[in-house]
Amino acid sequence: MLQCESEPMTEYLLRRLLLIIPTFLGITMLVFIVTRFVPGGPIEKLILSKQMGSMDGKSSGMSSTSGRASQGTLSEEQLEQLNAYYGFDKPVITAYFIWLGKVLQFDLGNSTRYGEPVWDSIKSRLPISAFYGFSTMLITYLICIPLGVLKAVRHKTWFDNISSIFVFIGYAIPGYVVGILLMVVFASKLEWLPMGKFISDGFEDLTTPQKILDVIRHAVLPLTAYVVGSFALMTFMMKNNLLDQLSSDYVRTAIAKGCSYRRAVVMHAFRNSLIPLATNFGNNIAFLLSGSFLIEKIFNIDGMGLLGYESIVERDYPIVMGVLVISALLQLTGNILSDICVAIVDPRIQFR
Amino acid sequence: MTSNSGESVLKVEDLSVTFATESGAIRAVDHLSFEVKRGQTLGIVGESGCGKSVTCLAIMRLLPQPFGTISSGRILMKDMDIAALPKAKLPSIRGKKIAMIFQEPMTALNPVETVESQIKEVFQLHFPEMNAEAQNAEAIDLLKRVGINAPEQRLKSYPHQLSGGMRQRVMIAMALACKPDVLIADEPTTALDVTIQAQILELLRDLQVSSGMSIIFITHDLGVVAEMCDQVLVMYGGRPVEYGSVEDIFGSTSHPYTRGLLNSLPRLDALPKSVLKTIPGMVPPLNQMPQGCRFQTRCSHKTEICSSEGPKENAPTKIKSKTVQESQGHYSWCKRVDEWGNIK
Repeated sequence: MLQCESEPMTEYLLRRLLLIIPTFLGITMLVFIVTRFVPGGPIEKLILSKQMGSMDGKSSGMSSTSGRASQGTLSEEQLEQLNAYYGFDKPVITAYFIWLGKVLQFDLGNSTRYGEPVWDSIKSRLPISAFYGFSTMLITYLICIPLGVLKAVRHKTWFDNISSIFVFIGYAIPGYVVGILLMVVFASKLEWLPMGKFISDGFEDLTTPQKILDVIRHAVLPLTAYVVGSFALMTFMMKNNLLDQLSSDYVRTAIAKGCSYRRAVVMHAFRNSLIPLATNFGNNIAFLLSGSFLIEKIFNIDGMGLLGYESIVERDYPIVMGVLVISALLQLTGNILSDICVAIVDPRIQFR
Repeated sequence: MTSNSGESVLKVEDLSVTFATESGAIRAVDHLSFEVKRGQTLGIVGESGCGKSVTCLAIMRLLPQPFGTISSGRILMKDMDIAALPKAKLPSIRGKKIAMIFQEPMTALNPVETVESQIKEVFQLHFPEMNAEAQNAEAIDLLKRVGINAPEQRLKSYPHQLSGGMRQRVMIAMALACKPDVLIADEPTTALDVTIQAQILELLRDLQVSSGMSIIFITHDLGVVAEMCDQVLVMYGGRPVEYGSVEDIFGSTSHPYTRGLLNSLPRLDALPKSVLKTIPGMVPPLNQMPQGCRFQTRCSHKTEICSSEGPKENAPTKIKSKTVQESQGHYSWCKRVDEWGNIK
């Protein structure tokens, strides 16, 4: 029973990996069908812009001859061509499988807005979001775990109470508001740090240390906004987990054995209190990689969040689907990662 | 039967424990004194909330901080007063001089550490110079002594892979690791089923004989007391009510409360399915204890003197023992004990 523990683990993970396939199909199919039926799709947009264009034309004194010829609408043939171009001429299921077939060949199609391949836009933005995501996660864990531990150990002391005030303020203010505040103060008023964007315009000409410094200077404000957003929850989770564990019987046993209080906390309670954090770990990865479009918007960072948001507003369905593919895969692998983390810290977890 | 003239290992003098609560200070243990002799077992008996567990936590200096404090008294091991020790010294006492096993073996072990690391931690704490092989050999030997089969494999187990009885055995092994002078067993068998209870009690008795340690055995089960203990302290509402050898307590019961407890035991010679006798009423909350004798609200022998004067904590009535063990002393904290002799 003990020696074959690794065997069910790999089997379990394999099964979980295989389960990604139907889940992935379900998610993408659902969204694909929805994009078909919600109003305001690319063709309707085109018609609308045509009409707007022709109205503009009329008001500016019928200067445009083409505007008059189309009468502000598209002809039947043109519509059919467009339908065929976007794949709307086929039944939705057929269209879905055609799309899926392309995805399996790593072809996510072209953006209907810019015409460039979806994969290229994602490829240029994913590293930016990933940079912020991992930095945020790292900083959050580095702050929240020690802070939570300290707060638990010094429960109801002045340190705990005062730090709680700050944590609650952080909890009450959304990350993007913090972002705006920071920008107004540090970028606009004091001009210590840049206003936004991921890198400066003349980035290519900088030396490597200057490049690193440049990225850091740009990252300080948005990272702060990100961290403030996720930090309160994590700190309190850590504190409460540890408090729970500190009052548990086995900690008393440890002290009765002769452990100092510090040792009982570090060697016994701490690891047990990490279990709920580990459950959360994979989800955080997925969440952080997909970026927060509000913070990205404020700091003008070309990340995944902004890309996804704009593509939905603009009904740029290939990009919507492309972002969905990436975030669904991240979420699903994140879940498995969570399971692995929990299994590492908690020997009671058995994979069946 | 062990001799009565053994040396005293642990002496508790006039111990009081106070808890700070929102409705004021509550005295959970009130001027308690007792003595544990080498190789003997002292049973502390009483209902839930009578202060028996708090007494033991006080001896271990494990009272919940910052609410529970030792407000008076001394806890003496030889010349050392545990009650007065600075906090930094406590870890060298706990586990080494006095060890403790708890009621709930299911939660008393760390769920994410192996049995091995939890046992070996005791060695690392108290014998840091011990090398890995010696630790290993000692850990295996301990598991054997507490009757665990295939100890090499069990060392690698996690607590959730063991049954309740096995876990309590592991707890006992851990407690024995440093050959403590005193083992405090806080209702160690309450959470176990009856057959396992019997095994654990037998194990404790055997270990006591082989190691010569003293045991403080906390229980509310008088059957277990009769089986396990040499001396018995009966507590009610944080105060002692009767103290004496097990023969005295059972043979010449001298307090109405002890009598009530004994009468509440199921008897084999009683009619089948007859209703068990109980002590009427409830224990009053500690902050609403009556003046004088604390048991008066439930005592059928109550008179004027019980509430006006009551027993003095430090001056119990010494009962003339009918047994040979007079030297041990048999004390009752009942004011009226002289009037009626032994109560039925």
